[in-house]
Amino acid sequence: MEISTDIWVWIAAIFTLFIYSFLYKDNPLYKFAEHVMVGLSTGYYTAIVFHTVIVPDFWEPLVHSISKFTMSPAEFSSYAIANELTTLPTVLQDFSPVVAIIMLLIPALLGLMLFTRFIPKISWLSRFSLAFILGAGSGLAIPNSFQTRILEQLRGTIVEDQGSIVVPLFSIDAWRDFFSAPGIGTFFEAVSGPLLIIGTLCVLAYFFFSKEHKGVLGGAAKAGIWFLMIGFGASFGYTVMARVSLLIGRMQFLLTDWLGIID
Amino acid sequence: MSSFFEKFLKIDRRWIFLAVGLAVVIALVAPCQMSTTITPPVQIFHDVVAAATPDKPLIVSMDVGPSTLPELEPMIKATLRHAFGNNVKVIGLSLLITGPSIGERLLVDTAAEMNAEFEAAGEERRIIQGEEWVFLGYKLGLTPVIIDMGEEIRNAFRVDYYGTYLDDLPMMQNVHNYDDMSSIVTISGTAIPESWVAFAGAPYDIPVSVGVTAVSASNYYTYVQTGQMAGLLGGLKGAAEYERLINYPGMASKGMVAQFWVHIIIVFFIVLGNTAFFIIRAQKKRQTDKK
Repeated sequence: MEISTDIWVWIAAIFTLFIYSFLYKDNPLYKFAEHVMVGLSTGYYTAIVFHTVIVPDFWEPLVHSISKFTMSPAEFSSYAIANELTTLPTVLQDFSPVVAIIMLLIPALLGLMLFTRFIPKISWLSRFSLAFILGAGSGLAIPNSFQTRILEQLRGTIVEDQGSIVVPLFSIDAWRDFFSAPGIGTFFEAVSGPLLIIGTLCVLAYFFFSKEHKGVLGGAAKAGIWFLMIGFGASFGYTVMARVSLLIGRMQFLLTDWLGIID
Repeated sequence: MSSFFEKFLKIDRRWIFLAVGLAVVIALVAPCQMSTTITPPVQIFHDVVAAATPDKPLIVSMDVGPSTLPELEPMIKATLRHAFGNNVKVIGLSLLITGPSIGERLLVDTAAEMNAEFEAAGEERRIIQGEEWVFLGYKLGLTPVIIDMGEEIRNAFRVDYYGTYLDDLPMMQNVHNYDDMSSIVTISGTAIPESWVAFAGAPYDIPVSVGVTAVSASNYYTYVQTGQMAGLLGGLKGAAEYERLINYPGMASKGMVAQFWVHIIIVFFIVLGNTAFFIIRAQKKRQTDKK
């Protein structure tokens, strides 16, 4: 057993215990740790964004562009390469400093306009920025997301890729394998595909509200609820494991890094 | 008996917390191990990393934060050890703001740990920054960054985390886009893996292997089934399976013993709690019927 002599390990350990003290009951130590955590996180995020976005992507290119205001695009590009301006984006080197400045100021202006939300009289200005963000974001995301989240998933309820060959989920071969060699493995192999198809259709039936859930549709919708519940159960099981993992992680830290009880 | 069940239903939840806490501590301190069965998604993940060749680096996107580290750190360490062990070069990066310092620490620590092992084994081989691994740090934007890397990695990251031009790093000399990389490993507790699949995996046909927290694992199995994700590590269990496959008894393998005992306790309380509930309800019904 070798207790840590690192002050930061001690601070982390004490704050961990402060946070866990909430399990007994709410108390000032927990509140103190919670507030420190929120403050530290905000400060950390701000510093990271400032040093990895504002300075290299805006401030430094702007300063260089202003200082070489009269250069031609070719001169400006040569200057950037010669001075190893690692923070000057390549795209800006292809333009004159004046154009580069404009290209830098437009996104900066759009960013600043977002803050007009705090001033009711001119808050409408923020809509331009939001429109740009939504437009560009949707334009980028929709085609690819449609492909991966809808088309491929739809395909996945019909066929399955097994290496280089594509087999239908309702596979006659799988059933033949099961009847020729009955066993748990071959049974699940045969039944999993049809179960996935039936499950998908039943869950879709549950969310189909244009017709009253009666008769076949009602039965399918009820089966859909069961499939959903089993899905939620699996998610809940995973959630329990995730939360326990966090506890294990903290305990490993306390017992290993802090107290040195285990290796 | 009924008074026991009545008392049990009113049990102070702090006793349950104490039982769970003690189970974790005892399981971690006691020197016992558990066997872990390998599931197909983890096997696929392992096989994809194992198939990477030394001439094409592996991208490891460490999109993690402190709150997800207990589950994701073992995955990252195992992936790095697996890659370095096979002489595969690694391009590390983070697309989550909380990730860069963690990612850099894990790369440096893993390389140092393996170098110490090589030295102890009398091997001359060393894992050197710039030659076996580079860390590009954090870049804001997510989707544009992933798309940019498909065209030219230097469009997204001109310099690495330490400010060195990518052109000045030996292992990056012939690496420009996804064609020059073997596969992508993204480890995250967020929806970032979906972006890697949508904007790198689908358009550039590069395998995307994923490690996620247990909470989000169930959302991603559909991507594995459709072949869009080349393997999946789900939570601590997935990490422990992967550690077993590469013969590395890391933090996840040790944690699974605690997971086992905590699950036993939780199941015990659920079964006993439900039993008590139904018994008390039946008793109350009988008493009402008598009246």
